[in-house]
Amino acid sequence: MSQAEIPDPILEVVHVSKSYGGVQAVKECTFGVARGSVTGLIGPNGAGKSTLINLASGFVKPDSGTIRFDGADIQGKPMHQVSRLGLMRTFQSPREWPGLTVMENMLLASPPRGRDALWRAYLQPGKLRQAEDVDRVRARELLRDFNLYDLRDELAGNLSGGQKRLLEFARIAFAQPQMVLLDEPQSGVNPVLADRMIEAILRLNADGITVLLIEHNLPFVERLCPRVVVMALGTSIAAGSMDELRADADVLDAYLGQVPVSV
Amino acid sequence: MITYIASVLTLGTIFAILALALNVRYGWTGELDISLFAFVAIGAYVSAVTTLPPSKLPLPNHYILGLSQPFLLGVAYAMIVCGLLSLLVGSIALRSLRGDHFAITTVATTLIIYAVISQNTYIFNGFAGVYGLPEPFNGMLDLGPDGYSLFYLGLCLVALLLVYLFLERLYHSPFGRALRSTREDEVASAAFGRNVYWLKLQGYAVGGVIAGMGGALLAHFLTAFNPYAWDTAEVFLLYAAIFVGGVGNQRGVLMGTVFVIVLIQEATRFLPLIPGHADAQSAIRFILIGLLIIGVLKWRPQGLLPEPRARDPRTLAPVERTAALAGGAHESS
Repeated sequence: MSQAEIPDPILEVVHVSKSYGGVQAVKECTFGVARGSVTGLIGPNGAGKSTLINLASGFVKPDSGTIRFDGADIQGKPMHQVSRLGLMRTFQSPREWPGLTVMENMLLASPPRGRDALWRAYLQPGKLRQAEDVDRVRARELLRDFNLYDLRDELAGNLSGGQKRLLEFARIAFAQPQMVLLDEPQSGVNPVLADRMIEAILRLNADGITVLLIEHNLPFVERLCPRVVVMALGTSIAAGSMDELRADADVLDAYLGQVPVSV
Repeated sequence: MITYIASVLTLGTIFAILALALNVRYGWTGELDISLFAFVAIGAYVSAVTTLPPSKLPLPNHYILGLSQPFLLGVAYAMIVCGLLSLLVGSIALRSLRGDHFAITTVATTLIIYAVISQNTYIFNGFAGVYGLPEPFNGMLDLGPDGYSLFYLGLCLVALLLVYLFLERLYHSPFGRALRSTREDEVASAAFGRNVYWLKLQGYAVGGVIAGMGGALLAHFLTAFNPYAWDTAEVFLLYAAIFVGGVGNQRGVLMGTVFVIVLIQEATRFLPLIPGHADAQSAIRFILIGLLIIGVLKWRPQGLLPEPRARDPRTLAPVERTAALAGGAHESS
């Protein structure tokens, strides 16, 4: 265990456990993510990475343990509250709203701020219109940056897999959370687009968004993440740069020989 | 003849209001609601006992309240009661139930409400129901049967127009957009900070309030209301109208109402009677509606008018246009 203390952690996972029936998906997992960093989370299949993101984002509740975001305990809070605190997430396959237009998908990424209260549609139409137009201007700019501007009136469900991914990044860039959890952002995307994805992730980070990303493509992780956390069998077993991890016997063992050999 | 045509159109108009209400619940929130007619009935009864004088029926026959209040207050009370009841039912049904489980819960709700209203003779006089409802505004208008039937048709059309305009604005508002997003993918909605439960609950209540208004209009059109006047299965007529017209599209729903409820429902009245088969007409009606639904789902599943896309407006508010230009300059740099 090489779990060096993180100086200014924005996200702390402390002894978190979660089991589904007889399967212990996450077990006493502990690690931290530094504010402003791009951190990787890797591990073999079934290591509990996705479950951990589900736990941190409030999608599922942990059985035990503490999850602290920006100093506040968030374990057990529902996803929409975690999201409003500034901790957002993406999903392994992009989850757009297929029957709404690309522009509507963008506008919905704007934090609610009470604007979608029912009565506002009738009592403050002018103010609402103006706030919406400010959003539209910003959304158009982002859509231009992500090459989606001409598709803004298209239904999001009609986009290609890669375009849906880009829309997802555009939505996060629009929402400007403090931190985002990216669950396999490369999955379903043509490897040729890898450079574009790296650019997009670095752009989010440059906007001040802390990034924690799960990825199986290790060269991709190495290019993006100075610090990487390794999970195996539901718990974090190591953390450090990819160079350090390559020299770590536990990590090699987790990737190459997961099943303990019985003598 | 005028009275007949006016009554067909009045019923069609009221059903259009009900179809719009169901379209909010099903077309916007995406939850299959079977309970709409329970809310229509509650709206009808509440408006009836608000406008009727206190019950003088010999016990055990009785109806509650009897406030002798004007029609508009009856409508208002009907809408308020149905809104509150929607919040109560929705708070149970929508907390964690979706899809089939939600639908079954609303079926149970309808059956409970139907059983209580029809079996208990103290609340709304059981199967005998309430009758002798005042004709709204006819006290001061003093119109004949033809004139009054046209007047009431106009009243219902005004109500339909108000509901339509109210919903049209809501559809495009941030609230409507967030509500429709929960229909598309509620996990994604929660991931972007939307309280899905609260949004769906509000959508359910908006549908309930409008159903209550439609119920009040129906009760005063019939001038009597009892459990024979509403059938839980009638909600499927409304679903037929929504599917034929186009789920989520308000104009489509109005068009579907004309097709299903006005044309099929009324045209089958003129079929020759088959001796010995008194219920052949209503059976044929349901067969025709069933065929229509199958045909639409097979050849035009999005309905006659698909849901409109909320297009990005070409022009934004003047203050922001400069910012938009700055955005354009940024793009070319």
